[in-house]
Amino acid sequence: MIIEIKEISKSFRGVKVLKNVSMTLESGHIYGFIGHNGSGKTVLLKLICAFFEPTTGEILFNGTNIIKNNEYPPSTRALIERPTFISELSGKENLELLAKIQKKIGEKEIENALEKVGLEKEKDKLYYKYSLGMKQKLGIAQVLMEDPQILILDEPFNGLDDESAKNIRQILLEEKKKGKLIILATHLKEDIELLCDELYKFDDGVVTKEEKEIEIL
Amino acid sequence: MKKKWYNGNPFINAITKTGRFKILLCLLVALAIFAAFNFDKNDRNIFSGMIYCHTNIVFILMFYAFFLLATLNTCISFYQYDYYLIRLKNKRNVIKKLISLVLQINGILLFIYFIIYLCFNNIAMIDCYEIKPVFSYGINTNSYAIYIMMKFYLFAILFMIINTILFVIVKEGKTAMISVFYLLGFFIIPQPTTGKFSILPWNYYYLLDYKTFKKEVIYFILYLILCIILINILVRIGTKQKRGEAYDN
Repeated sequence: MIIEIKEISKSFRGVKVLKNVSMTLESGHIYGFIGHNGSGKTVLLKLICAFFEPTTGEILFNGTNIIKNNEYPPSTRALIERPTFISELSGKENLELLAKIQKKIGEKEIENALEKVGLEKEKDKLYYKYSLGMKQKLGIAQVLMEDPQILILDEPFNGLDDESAKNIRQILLEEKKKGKLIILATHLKEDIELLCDELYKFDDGVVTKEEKEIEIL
Repeated sequence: MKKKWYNGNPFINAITKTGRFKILLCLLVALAIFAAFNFDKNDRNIFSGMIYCHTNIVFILMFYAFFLLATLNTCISFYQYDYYLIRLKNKRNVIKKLISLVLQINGILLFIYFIIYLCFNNIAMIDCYEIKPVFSYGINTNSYAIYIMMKFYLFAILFMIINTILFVIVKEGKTAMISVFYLLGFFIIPQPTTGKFSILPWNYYYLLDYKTFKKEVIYFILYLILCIILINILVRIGTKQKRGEAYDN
């Protein structure tokens, strides 16, 4: 899978939040988006997910402009901003609801995803009773459960304790080994440096690439 | 085995529990009470009251403004669940899902409105069940009131569907703007004096004499067909896909 981002700009009410951003992202890599709050990271992630349409430029998935085609990106799962699930359902029921849409996976895969992120004991607890860290883990579980080719994670370590963060880092490295394309956005440089192959720095809508050697945990 | 409730539609439960929905419910009760007491003062009759109210511009504007808000509320609430959206693969599926959700939630609201309206209409017009003829149609106010209510609800459903499609295509700001322009048409387009076939939607809300009831129903059905064609065109515009390029995601 190759994502080509070509001279993307995005404005909201005349204010340019992304300025001529271009990059090529390939499978088997973890890409880090780093920058302060409001620097445009989340906007680019939402553009990649086709939740927003770019003001100018295009995003191609294996050469196809999916936004023009009114589609959402192929085999992509995302955790952008805070997790939004249905409060009155348990964690597992929320995942079942999502799994029912495409019917690609069954209960076993859902249980596996919950176990992977360390939510197996709290799976039947109602979502509104979850702590911030548990909500975040459930968000990551829904990203992983259907074995997508592209994983988009916006501040995935928010609210996680050190042990859980370490576990999620390990999961992401394993997913990368399987040939997945992973995009991570964070404002915490130390987190992203441990994981990513390439870094993109966001500063007031301008994106610059920063070369970096791979570090293995 | 007991069927789990979320096998139905858990979004209905989630959306109807929000504070915004509770405000909408309060507005709905006020609207139903207003409708019940909004009748022709010279003709205090339960069926004439129904006809008068549902062909009255002030009431129509309030009713449509309410259902515009209710529709946008459902659409905006549903769009928060981006995990769900991305799995629907394309906008066509989003439109289908959203229309079904809007119709279910607005259906509940329409039902509540109707029950409250009927209760207060009975209070407003105690013992006024006198049946009168309508124009020279050869039918009475009771049958005509049922027709008017059905027509009114069908138009309201079309309005909700069109707003939902517009929301997916142009988002809430432009959808609200287009609907407000549509409602302003009641003031800008002059009301005709006699009933005839017209492509202007506003003419179908007024109480007009079409000479025969059959003619009125046929014109209404023809107009309904035009609306359905418009909805299909809108869906095609909003979801046009190039052949052979759809992904399996």
